[in-house]
Amino acid sequence: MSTDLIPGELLQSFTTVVDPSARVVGTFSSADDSCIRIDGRFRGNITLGPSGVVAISDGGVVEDAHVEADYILISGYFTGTAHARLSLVVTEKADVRGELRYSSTLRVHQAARVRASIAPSKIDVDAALLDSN
Amino acid sequence: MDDHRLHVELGQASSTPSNVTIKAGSRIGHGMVFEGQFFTGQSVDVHGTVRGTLAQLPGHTAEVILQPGSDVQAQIRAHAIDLGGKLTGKIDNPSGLTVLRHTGSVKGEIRYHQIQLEGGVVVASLARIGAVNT
Repeated sequence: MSTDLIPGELLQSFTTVVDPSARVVGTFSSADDSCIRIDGRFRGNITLGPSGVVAISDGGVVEDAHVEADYILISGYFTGTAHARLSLVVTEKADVRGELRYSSTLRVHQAARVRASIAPSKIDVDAALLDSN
Repeated sequence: MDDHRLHVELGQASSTPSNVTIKAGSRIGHGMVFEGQFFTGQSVDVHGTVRGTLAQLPGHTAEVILQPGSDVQAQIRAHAIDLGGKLTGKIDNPSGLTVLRHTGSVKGEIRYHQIQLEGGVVVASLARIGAVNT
């Protein structure tokens, strides 16, 4: 998987991986630049620090999740809320339902299946309202 | 004459796992904290922090590896368990080999079929389970 919206070096080495056979329920969290790739099934929350990447591969299934990271790349199945503090990318094999929030860039492939509300980050919206007053 | 007491070989510290070939599998990286239940049919290589359960899927034989520096409070159930980090909790390995490295520490309960201690710290109860060779 690759995209020009997410730094290539961050996609090269995932420090945390959920393998295709794995079934995981819980919470992943990191304060540093950890990157996580979901190839299996996951249900729960993921919160990463600056420069963190959450990638759901085309075989990955993420359900009832709340995901927050600088970069989010969805190529598989996702239901829940995805909040990208920078870029959010949904590729052609993705099947997404829920809520997508982003602060910088959102790209959705035309073949992706998306039934989600899409909005800029709430923090940025509030800041814009304050600036206008 | 066998007196059926436990014989534990304290071998040399080995630089590579003696019973574990790290297959393509899962990884919990340094700096990552996982809380919950983690089931796999392959392996999970832990460098970070875990609270909860690390276990093999029913019908599978999986490997759990705790790397030096890892901090795990969990129940671990797998066919091959390699402890180089810190574990507080319970080990349940009725079929394969459990290895405690010199960098590892275990506090809690170890239910094992085969065990190999290469140093490390053990503050735990040990119980042999699984098929007994006669």
